[in-house]
Amino acid sequence: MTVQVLGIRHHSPACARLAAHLIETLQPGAVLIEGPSDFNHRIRELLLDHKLPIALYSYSNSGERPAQCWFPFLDYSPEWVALRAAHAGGADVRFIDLPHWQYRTLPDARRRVASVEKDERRSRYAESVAALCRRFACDGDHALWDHLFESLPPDAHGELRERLDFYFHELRGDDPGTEQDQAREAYMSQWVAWMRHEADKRNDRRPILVVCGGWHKRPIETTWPTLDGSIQPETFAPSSEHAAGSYLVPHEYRQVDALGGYGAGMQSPLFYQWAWQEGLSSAGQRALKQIASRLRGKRVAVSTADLIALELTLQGLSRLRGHAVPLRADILDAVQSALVKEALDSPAPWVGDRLLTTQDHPLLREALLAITGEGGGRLHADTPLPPLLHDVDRELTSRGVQISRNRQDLVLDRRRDEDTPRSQLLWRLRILGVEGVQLKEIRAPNAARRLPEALRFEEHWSCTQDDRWFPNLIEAAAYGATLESAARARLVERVHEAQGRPATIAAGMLQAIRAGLLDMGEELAAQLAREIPTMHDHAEIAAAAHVLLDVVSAGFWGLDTTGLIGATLLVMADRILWLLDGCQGDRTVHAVGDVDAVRVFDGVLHLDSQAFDKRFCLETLARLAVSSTVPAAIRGAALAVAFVHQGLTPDRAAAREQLLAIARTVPPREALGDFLYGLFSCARGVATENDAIVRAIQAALDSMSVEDFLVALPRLRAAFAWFPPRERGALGALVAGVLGLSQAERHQLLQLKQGADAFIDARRIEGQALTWARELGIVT
Amino acid sequence: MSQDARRSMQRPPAEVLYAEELAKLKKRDRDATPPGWQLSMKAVLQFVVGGDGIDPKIVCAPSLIERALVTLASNRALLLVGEPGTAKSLLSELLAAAISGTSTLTIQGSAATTEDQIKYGWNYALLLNEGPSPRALVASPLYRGMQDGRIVRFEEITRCPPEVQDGLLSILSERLLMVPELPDSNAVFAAPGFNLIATANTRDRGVNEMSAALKRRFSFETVFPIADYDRELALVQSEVARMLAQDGIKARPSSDVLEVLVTTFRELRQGVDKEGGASEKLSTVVSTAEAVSVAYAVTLRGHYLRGDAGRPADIVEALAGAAAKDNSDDLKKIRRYIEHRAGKRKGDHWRDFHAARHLLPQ
Repeated sequence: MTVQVLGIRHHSPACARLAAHLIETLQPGAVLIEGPSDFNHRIRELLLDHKLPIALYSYSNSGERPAQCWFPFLDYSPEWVALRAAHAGGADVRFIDLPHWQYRTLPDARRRVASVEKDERRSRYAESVAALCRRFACDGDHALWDHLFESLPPDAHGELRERLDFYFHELRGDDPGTEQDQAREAYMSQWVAWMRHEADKRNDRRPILVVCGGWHKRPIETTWPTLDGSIQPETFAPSSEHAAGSYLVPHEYRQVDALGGYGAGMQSPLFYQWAWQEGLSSAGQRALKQIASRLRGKRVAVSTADLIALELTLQGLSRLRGHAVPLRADILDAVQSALVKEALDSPAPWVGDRLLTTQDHPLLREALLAITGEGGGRLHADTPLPPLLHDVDRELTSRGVQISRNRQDLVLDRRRDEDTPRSQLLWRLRILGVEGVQLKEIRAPNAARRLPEALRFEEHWSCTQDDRWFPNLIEAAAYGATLESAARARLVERVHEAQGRPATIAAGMLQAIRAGLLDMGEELAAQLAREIPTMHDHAEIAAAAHVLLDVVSAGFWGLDTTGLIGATLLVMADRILWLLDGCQGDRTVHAVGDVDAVRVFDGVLHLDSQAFDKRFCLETLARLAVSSTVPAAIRGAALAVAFVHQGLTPDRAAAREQLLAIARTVPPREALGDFLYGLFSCARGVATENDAIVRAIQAALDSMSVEDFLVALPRLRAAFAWFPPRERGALGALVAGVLGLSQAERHQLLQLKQGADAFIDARRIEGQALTWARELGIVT
Repeated sequence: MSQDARRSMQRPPAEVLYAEELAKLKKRDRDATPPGWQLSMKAVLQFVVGGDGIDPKIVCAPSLIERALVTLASNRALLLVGEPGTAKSLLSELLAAAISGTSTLTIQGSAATTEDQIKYGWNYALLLNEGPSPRALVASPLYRGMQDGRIVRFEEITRCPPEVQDGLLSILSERLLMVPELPDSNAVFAAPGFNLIATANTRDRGVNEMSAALKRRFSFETVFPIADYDRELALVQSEVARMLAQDGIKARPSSDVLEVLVTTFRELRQGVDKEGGASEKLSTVVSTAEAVSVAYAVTLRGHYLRGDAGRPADIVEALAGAAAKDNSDDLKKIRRYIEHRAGKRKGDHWRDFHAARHLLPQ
């Protein structure tokens, strides 16, 4: 036969053995492997001395979000074994599939779902497997595969090939497959036809061996002879390094475990690693030992009697199932039977296709993790790396940061000029999700401890070039070729993922500041402008806006952040104004958030930005202030902002009169407290510069009954909490003046007669009352 | 046993009901048979999960049966745990019938179970007359199982008081039952083939009450509700058909009724609807066995009261009795389920089911 197609299951040791055997016996002139053909010119990278597992990582930036995928190799992956054996035997080795970045990459969110959802279109596959499981009394796909194939003696090549052919023939039948299947099969077939044609031209009669997933075997076998072999298959190259690409990355065992979410994987990769190296029987022994010691390490009492029971059960089970050597499912079933001493909540995790979750019985989880394997592979030093890694190296050297395999702790002070570039570098790495760069905390020691969190300057870092350093960076290469551009793209994506959560957006802004990405303002503001119509809680937006206002008004340790934050703040302010305009009715419980929202305008107006429509804002606030349907707290705050920023009448004295007039219209019992709470939030000055307000309040109080007063008291008290002690003193003087008190009485007004103990006592009682109220559900 | 004898029993035991199949399996059984067993493990497995001309009798993972068989051939006893109505007792009956040829050596555990019922009692007339003698001894099923080397079943073991359960300790580890009252031959050694299959519900907080010492002597196997919709539907259909045939009734529940019933039961059991949305789980049990009895009741009602085969609306009333029992919270959940889920489903049968929601007790 001129072309032989070997259908395999990815990561099956049995298939790997068969592939090696076929290459040895057939001496093929070419070995064509189902792998991304765009990698052909770099296939030598795979021939370097890597420590497996590694993966071929592909990314693409063609869609809205960066998409990525991994194509793992283990020592016993048939593709890997075929590649190395073919190369050693002098055969021409090619990958013949479409580029992974063309069909296989998925955005993160999509990929998380794709790993567990069943492919409905491959229904024949599921039906056939279910029928075979019934026939052979197996629980599921994995147990069935081991029972039929992995259990064969290592040298039963003929028998294995026959079974594989029959099995995959049954699975596929005449199922046309998905559209993607068809496109890939057509492409792979074209390669086969062309390679055969080329070999024939050279008069090379040696066979060609195709190693592909069993699902594709039959269509390739039937299609290639019908194709015109003189047509060379199209080769694909990404339009730029940024658009798409592929690199080798070190991979970890847990990443290739089907139980961890790798759909094309086998469960328990470490077990098959042992089986590949030492044979099934030794793998079984090692698995038992590993499971027992892991369980004992986790303080599960596994007695000698239990181990004897385990061994006996294992022997019994494998004999009953006709396995000369215990298989993986036998071992796990025996563990379940002998060691679990309670009812399970769900069937054992290795039955069927699903992920290992924390819902699974802890003992079974640990048993599985024991044979999943820890750690991962390492790339050979000569493996080409994406430009991002070189850029990171350059940046690290030029900014004088050394990150080695030993952990080192760094304290960087943002007030110092020399620390800023280093800190910015670390922030960029952190934004890219490099796990070796950890920010432990940000402090502002001693006298500065009251600084807003956003402005704290002492950053405590811990840096190490750990095992995930290279994989993290290579995978981050999807975002850009330089550290700065990659960090920027990642940050924009993160803000997008926030999907209208203002706090996350503010946090993203602060990260941009700390990372020195100060020119991102327009980009982030545009992003936010798209998201903001979905935000409906003005208090939440306001909280984020205040964080940004703190930074923008103070500046970030010598950096001018107006350019970065200004535009975003304006978008936020616009939205808040829109939302405030819709607030109606009694919102006493929301008063704090409402007033915070209005206070944002005080900050924004102080910025004095050209882009902000100051007139419209003040007019709206003035309108809100006089509207009787608007909640009192918002009215008060709006009035204060309008007053302070000259949004009422131009004449100062007339404006004050207007303010007083509005204040007098507020119903004292229900709304005065909230109104004043809003008013004093931004315009404390009006209360202390003369006694007009005090007189107005006095008049309102006089009109109230005792009961009315008690109702209004808590909110009134809150309103005066805005005043610092000195201004309270001034207020006290005004009150005394209005009441006509003598000097001595005036003095008494400002003194705590009962002493501190009574005060502390009152606080305690109040606290207790509040606790009870919360328990009863009266307040939240 | 003849067909007539079988018909004379309301519920024939498994070894009677499936006598032909057991004989067939025995005849063609070529595999090694564990000591004291009637059949090889493979034959027992086939008897339970079916294949090769044998009907499947239970829907479960084959590995469960395999583990159970290996346990029963070892020196540990088997404890089947799971929600009520997951066919634990049926499984233990089938296993006992296939392994020992009898499933009637059964102890029913309850709060009133005493050690006498587990080990042995006395015929007091004989005891007074001739003193302790083998003739005066009344052997328990366990006693007989040990003597004859057979599987003994212990239903609802965790409903027994712990001290009574602990009476099993020496029997299970030493495989020895002492009768100190007898002057000689006062020890019963278990013959090969003896073992114990106990069942326990996870719902009646029973499993926690078992002592650690006794737990160690058992191998636990959890029996789960049927995971696959189609298989559950098929099972309900065939079981109802069997029960109706036994009563000589020709009517069979329509596929619409069964669809509504099985879907409703599954969704109330799992708290997830078939579109993947979350709904609410009932606190009581809505097992396949209960679905069978509701389907049976619905058909009987249609047949005897109206002359049809039951309508989806009948399920509503049956649900209140079978699923909600006296739990008002569950009743609320069922009502919300019918309002929100059933109301949105397409098809006349769902509409009929939804329209009958007022039949739920208020």
